Amino acid sequence: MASSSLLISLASCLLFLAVSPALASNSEGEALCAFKSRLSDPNNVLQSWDQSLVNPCTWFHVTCDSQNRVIRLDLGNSNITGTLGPELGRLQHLQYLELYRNSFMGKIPEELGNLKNLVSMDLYENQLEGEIPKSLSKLKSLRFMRLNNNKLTGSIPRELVTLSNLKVLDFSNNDLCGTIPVDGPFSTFPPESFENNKRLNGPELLGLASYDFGC
Amino acid sequence: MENMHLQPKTIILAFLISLSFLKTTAIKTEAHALLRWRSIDIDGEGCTSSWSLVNSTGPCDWSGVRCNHAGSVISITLYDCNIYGMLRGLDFSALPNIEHLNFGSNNLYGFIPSTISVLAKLVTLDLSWNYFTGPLPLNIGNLTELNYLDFRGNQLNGTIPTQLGSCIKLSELYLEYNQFIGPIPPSLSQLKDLTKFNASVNQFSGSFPIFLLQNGTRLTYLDLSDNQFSGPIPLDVGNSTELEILELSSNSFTGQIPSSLGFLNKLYNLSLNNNFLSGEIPKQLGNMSALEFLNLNYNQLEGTFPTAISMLSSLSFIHASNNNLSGVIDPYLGQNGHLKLINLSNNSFFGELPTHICKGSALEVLQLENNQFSGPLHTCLRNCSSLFFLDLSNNYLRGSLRFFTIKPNLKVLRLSENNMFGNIPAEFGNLTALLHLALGSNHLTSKIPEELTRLRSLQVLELSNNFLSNSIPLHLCRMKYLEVLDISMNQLSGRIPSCLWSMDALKVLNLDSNKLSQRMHSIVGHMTSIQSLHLSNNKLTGDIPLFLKSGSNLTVLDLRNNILYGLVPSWIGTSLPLLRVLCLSSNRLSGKIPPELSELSFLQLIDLSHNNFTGPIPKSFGSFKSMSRRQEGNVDGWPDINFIHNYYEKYIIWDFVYEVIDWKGIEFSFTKTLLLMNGIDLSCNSLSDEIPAELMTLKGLVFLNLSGNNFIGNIPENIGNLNLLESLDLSRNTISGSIPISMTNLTFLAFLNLSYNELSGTIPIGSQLQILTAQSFIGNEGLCGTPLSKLCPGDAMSTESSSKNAHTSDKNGEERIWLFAFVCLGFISGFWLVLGVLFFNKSWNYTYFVLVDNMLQHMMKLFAI
Repeated sequence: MASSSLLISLASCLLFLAVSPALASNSEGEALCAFKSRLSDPNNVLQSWDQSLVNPCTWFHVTCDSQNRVIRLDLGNSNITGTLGPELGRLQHLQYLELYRNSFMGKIPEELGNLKNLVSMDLYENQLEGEIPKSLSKLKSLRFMRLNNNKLTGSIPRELVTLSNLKVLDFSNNDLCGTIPVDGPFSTFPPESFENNKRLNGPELLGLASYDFGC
Repeated sequence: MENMHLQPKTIILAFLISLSFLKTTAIKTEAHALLRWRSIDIDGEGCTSSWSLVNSTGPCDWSGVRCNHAGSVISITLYDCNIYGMLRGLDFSALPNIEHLNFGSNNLYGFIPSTISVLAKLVTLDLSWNYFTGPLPLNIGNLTELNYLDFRGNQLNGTIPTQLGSCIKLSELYLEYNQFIGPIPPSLSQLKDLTKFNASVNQFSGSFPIFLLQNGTRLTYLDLSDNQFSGPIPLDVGNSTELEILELSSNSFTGQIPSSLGFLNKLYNLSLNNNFLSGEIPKQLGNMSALEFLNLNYNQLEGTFPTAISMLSSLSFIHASNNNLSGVIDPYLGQNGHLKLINLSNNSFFGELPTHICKGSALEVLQLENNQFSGPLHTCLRNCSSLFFLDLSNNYLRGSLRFFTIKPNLKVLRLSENNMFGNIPAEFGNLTALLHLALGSNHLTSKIPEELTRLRSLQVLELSNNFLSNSIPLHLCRMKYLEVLDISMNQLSGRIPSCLWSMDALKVLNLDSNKLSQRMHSIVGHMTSIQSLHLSNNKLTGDIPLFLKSGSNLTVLDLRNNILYGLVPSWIGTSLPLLRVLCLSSNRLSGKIPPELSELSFLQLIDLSHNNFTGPIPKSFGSFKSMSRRQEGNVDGWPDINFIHNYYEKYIIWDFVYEVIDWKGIEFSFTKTLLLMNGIDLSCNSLSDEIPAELMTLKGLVFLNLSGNNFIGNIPENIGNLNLLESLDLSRNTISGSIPISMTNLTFLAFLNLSYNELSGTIPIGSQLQILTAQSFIGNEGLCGTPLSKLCPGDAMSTESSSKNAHTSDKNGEERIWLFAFVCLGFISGFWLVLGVLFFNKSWNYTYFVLVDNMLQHMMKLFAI
């Protein structure tokens, strides 16, 4: 019974990709369904994500504000496998993206830089690869950025120093290279935020070496 | 001489005798093979009871057996003859002349024996609708005379053997309803005589087997539906001009619909539904002059519905629902006079309804719901005399229902969520065949006409969210098949007719948000069948009435926001055993919460908020059985209506059964996700004492709201057990002590409100608590740490890194000198050595630069100080 209802909800979620007028305004639910279609969800955490509902506000692990806009996604520690997709960038009002302790693979989509209201990006303890997108420097509201314990490579984008609201940052246990920025909020982050990146060489040299030194 | 003369005759005679002996031996062998099979493999002899050698010379007169003129078995037909068993013991080598073997619709199981390949003359093999398992035998390719092969409806698995391509005389191949996997082997392209091929309802994968449709194919029928085929539908499909039926539904085909399909001028059935097809519908489909049945439902098609298709002269069934189609429907759709069904629902079509859809009066089903159609509906439906299913809900149709000409055959009429105005005409009472009438969410005024009560077959009456006034007509009770009565969100006043309670078929009674006023405890009656009762948001007064005690089928009881007072009777816990939702909030109920409520073993949602309850939360609340585990979303036990179940699944209850929940601080109306919900809301009462630790055993809880009471004591230490919790509100109590560390286990917690208590100590640092805002914790004087701005004692060092540096360097004045000396010494002594290496070793040079950089910075600081 449970598996059949999962099938139904999954199928209906797929159907959601075909936008119907009643739901055309519900682009956030559509984006979430597109996201769901990338995921394997053995614990059935996304069972309630059903497109036939008028909006995603009564789905579990999704939080809306009083204008029915999605402001939180709480899927930490859910045994989910899959990739992050560009559709997440369509959740215009998202403030909290909590996807930590899962098995997300692939790259961090640069479209996440469109989440201009994002306060917290918790992607730690996954298997994300590739570089940290420069576009994340557009997240001017960001206070928490935890990408630790992934397989991220490349250098730390210098553009991130402009995130003046950033209070907590953790890039540790990745495979980042180059040097650590020292400007802006980076002056406050402890060394532990960067440890266990074998090719990450230390604080940026003030004009003495380029930031992708050693990459 | 005479003797010698006779000799040839004797020889001939002897030869003939020996021949006939051989023949009888052969016949006996065939008979024995069949009898032996029956005795060792078959349990119920079914229709083979005549199989016996006692009163018979051979198998030729046995039922289901046919012989050639030489008396050898050429055909065995045991179709639908109730035999149980296997084929394993049938000695096929003893039946060398068999041409037709039909064991369809029996209870045969086990593998299909590979020995079947010895039947070199086999033309027809039908093993359909049995319980055969395992793969097809590889040597099936030896059956080179095969013309008809039918394996449908078994549990066969594995891939299709390449060798099947050797059966080059095959003209019909049926593999549907099995568990075959893998691609269709390209060797089947050798089957030049294949006319019918059905591979549906398996787990075939790979790309479209286009080789079946190339090089002078004679295929007329191709069904690949319900598999896992993917990729595009190739353009070459248009070359197979003999095709009459092409079914590709429920796969994962992508890309566009090939315009070359337009060349298939014999095709009358085209089913492409439930795929991921995108782009526009090619107008060339309008060249398919034989097309009768078109199914494009559930794809991602966009653009308009081509006029050329609307003009097709034979087209009878159009399914194009659940796509992204838009534009205006061609006004001549239906001009051909043959249209029986149009389903364009869940698209973005706009403009007026097509005016000719009922030309020829053939139209039976019209589904245009969830589009943006506008304008009136009176002209287009005038000739729809055969119409029995009409759903135009959720459009922008406007007008008075007076112009709705009566269709005597109409069984389903849904006009909800439009802009219909005026009153409900008395003539609607003439739609006596109606089973389902939905006029909700319009602007209908005046009263519910008495005449509606003439709709004696009606099962669903949905008039919610209009401006209907006056009282509920007494005679509604005459609709003895009525399962759903939803007249919520109107301006109905007066009393609830007491006959409603005892309507035999009524499952859902929704009277929410009206102006009904009545002293509840004066109601007498016996509530027999009602499963979902919504009396919320009215002006009902008095005690919770005793008559509810008879509601042994009640699943949902919602009495929210009335003027009910008195105690909550303990019999709710014992007499309403099926209750899943109990909502008594926003009344004036008082006294203690009866502990017996915990006996409601299916209860998922209890909302007693905004009343005057006093005393503690009963400890027994820890034993709500259904809340102690995660809900699996099982629909069993929730009210459902049988009404055209198969045709229209979405009408199952959720249009009528919903519940408003204070969810993460905001009220939302829950429908389908109620199935998965477990929650307790006791907020805004005068409850006291400690929060019972027993509540923490309710591991399925998704929300818990105990705010606005007089709770004291600590937050239970093991609150971290409730790891499905998404919303927790304990605000505005007098809870003290520290926040339990276990709260950091609540990784789904999206809403937490602990404000205005007497909590103290450090806010635990953990996955979800740190990122919350201060709003969650304010009004607790003793509380400190992130996200509050108040720092905890001893926390200062870690939070202010710059002050830490200053502090350290101040403390160790001596260190300055030593460090300076070290720097100078190191610099001078190492300069040449290091510089030399720098040029050769890239990884060293960085380390060096860092060292220098650090030294320089440190020195500058020292000098500054």
